Amino acid sequence: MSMQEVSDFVLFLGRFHPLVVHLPIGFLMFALVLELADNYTKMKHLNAAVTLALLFGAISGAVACMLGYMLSQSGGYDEDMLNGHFWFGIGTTVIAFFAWAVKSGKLKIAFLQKAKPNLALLTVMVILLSVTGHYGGNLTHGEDYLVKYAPFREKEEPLPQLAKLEDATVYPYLVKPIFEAKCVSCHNESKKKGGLAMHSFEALTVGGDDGSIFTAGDAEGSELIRRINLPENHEDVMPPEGKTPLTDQESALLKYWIEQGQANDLTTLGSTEVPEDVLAYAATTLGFAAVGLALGSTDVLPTANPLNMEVVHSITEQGFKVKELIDGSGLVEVTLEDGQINAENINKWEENFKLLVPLKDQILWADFGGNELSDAILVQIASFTNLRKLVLDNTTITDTSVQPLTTLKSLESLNVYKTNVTNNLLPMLGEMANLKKVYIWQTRVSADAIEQFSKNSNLEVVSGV
Amino acid sequence: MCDHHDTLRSNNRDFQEIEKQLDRRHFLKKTSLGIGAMALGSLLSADKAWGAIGNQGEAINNFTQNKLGLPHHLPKAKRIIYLFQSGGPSQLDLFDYKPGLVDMFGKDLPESVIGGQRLTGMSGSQSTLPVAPSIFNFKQYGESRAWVSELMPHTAEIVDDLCFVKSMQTDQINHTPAVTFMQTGHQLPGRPSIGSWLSYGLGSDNENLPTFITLISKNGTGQPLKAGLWGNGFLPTEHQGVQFRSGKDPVLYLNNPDNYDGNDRKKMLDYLGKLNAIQHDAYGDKEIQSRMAQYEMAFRMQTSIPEVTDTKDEPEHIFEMYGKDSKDPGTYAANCLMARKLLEKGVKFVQLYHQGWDQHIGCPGGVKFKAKQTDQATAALIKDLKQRGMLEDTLVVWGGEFGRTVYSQGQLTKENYGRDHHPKAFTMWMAGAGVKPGMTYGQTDDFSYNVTENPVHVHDFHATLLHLFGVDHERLTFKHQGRRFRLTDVHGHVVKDILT
Repeated sequence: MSMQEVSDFVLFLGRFHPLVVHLPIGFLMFALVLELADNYTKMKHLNAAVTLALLFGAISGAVACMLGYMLSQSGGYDEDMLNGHFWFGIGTTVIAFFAWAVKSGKLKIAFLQKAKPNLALLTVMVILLSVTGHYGGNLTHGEDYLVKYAPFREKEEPLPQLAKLEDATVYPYLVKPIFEAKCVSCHNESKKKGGLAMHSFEALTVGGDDGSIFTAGDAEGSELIRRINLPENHEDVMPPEGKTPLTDQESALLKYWIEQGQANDLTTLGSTEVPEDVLAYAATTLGFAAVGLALGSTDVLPTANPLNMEVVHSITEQGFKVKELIDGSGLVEVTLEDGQINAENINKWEENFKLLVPLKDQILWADFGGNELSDAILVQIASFTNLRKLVLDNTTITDTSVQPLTTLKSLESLNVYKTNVTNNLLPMLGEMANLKKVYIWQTRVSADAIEQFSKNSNLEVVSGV
Repeated sequence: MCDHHDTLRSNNRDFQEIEKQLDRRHFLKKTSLGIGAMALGSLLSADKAWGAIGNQGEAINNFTQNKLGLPHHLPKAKRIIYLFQSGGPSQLDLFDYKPGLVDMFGKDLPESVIGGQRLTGMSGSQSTLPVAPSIFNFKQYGESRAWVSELMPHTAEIVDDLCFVKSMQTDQINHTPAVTFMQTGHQLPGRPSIGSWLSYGLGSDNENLPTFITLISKNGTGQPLKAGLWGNGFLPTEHQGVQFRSGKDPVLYLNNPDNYDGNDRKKMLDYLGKLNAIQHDAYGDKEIQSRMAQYEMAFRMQTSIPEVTDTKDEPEHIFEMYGKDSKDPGTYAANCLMARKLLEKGVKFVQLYHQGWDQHIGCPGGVKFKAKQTDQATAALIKDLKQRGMLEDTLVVWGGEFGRTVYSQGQLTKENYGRDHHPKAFTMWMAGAGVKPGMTYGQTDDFSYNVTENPVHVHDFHATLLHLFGVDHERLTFKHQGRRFRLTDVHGHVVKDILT
């Protein structure tokens, strides 16, 4: 039977079924408890209460049956399971009435007298009740709801760990988990609200009573996107009022999946243009620390620990400036203003630089220009394994002090403009595999030496222009 | 002090806090839901988050971790200098070479090109719209073979460092709305400028200098500029651009008056700060905090500004590079040099303006004059930043608010023509941080009238600019009057093709 033929009022009443249904469960269960207590403990006075519990249990059971029938009219339930729930429910209620009649003495069945009839009947009734309840639970929450987190269950094959974010297939890694968390409890194999199931990709493509839920490439024209973006108190909003709505990121991801991903189960992040917010969401969800990395870029940022604020504080207290380069990445830029280090305080600063050691893998950019830097300080700087950009202009460095920096394999840009480095610097630069640019204006490096060096190197040597 | 105010208020401290910080809209919204303890708590904490805006407090502690979740990705640019050529430079006489126009000299511009566009009142009523080819010679330069006219010989030397965008488009056809649109993302005054957004979003790199400084070439003629172009709009006031005077003293009254040594000024400011704090406690007006921050900044600028604006330590060859004007304070060349010094000291955004690119009549002479005033210093700035290693993380932008028409406004002769405003296609260039060097992006039709390839709208330019600073333009927002605003509002796409 479809929704249109049923009056709204019936559906309205039907929705009280999940509420009322817990009354008979309570009453009838308690009737059994009272009966057991009566038989096996000294609390004989409880006997009288059994009759009352059974009567109320039976009546509320009957009401629940009626409401349940009304609810079933809204459709979307698995036929077989619904039938089971229906008949077991009625069965439970009938037995409850029967048990009440026997207990209260209105019905006397001679051959039952010796066999503790009430206890037997009540046991059967509670079994029926449990079966009914289980069917009901499955109808409401989906078949695997109960045992999803059970120990020793057969676990679903987890998705393979990804090496690169680009390789993530959008549907299984990102879209499906959203549907499972927010949609599948009402749209599954056994409970298809609005005729729609969302537990598998195939089911999604089938759509619901109103047809397909998305049009590949057209997010704005897709029912799915329309429904999740309706105002929270709108009649058609999904998930419906009271359930957890989708977050902005989740909704952006679905939009992206339909639009750029063509609502396909094979699309990978790498094969599409991914908006930044979606990318950020994907990275965090899939456990990629390199948030904020432009996709498709060959640039892979190092993974870093979150910033230890005690360490940061100890450093900034001495006058260093620390700036996080990407929010939450733990990757930082460390700078020092001009003229902080001079001949008098250099010993103290050599100690200060040791404070940077805990951050040595997190410093991506550093600028200590305009200061007196000793060889000992340069040795500390050389320990910044992930350093990409180093500015040492207007400092007291020499060829000897630069030597330790050759271990910096990530260094891309080195600025030693206005220092005393000489032609001997050039061969050292060749050792830094990633170095792309070096600034040597106003040093003792000669134009001839640069010309000679540039013949065999792709490194861009910038002197005066 | 101020006891008379407290009699009007509840004695509950938290309630007082809220009462002060709420605007009417906020108050009605919250009270209509009933002020429960929960609502109070969330309100207070939300307010704390806003209170930390701009990281001023954090920056002084030498640590900048942004309360707004910025940057979103690894930035390429640490600072920017925007060389705004106010008035609308003629792309046809500078960069957008259209050799085919010579054959069209004096012919009426076909309607198929104009496409029903509404022209300005200045040339819309002309009986003909005669095509005016540029009288200037163009040549290709550098490895990138970029076309540059003879008016920009110095720029021609640095084309391999530039990325020309020939397909810029704007929505506005007149100066004030167009400049406002270019600087704030909206044609009406009242929105925050680009520099204010960056200051708000990314904070300061040097607490002794303003984050955002505006320099205007002296003796500017033509369309006026106004403070709203570097204004903070609805963002907290400390994010507005600080305009330097174009002259010998960029900031007035930095020196102490005669017979005053300034030793007790700090003490005076501390007491003033206490008084202001009392006022703030009583009224809760955030502008009082802004004012306090500005006083403190002014005090620090007493020492930082003379140092940074003094060019006497600059060697002669640097002045030569920027041109002889660079010794004359307030000129475009001198401003370019000062801009470099400011950027070196950690100013994030220097906004230069050079007025007078509005050649409705006498276009050849006018453009030539303006090019002469700016060309050498512009090129010198790029070179100077480059040799200091700063170009790789400094974004340089050159451009005006719109372009100029291919047809002549007024009478066309062999040597002379005028050009009217043209919003549908114009040229800008960017250089440095994260922008592909030696590139020409986008194309116009044979008349430099319509964009035929890769249009870049002003909103796209803004989105790209923010992207280079590690900011997703869709996620840097500020809630005002009940909705969230962005620099690009509901528009804008990052122009990925021009990024390294």
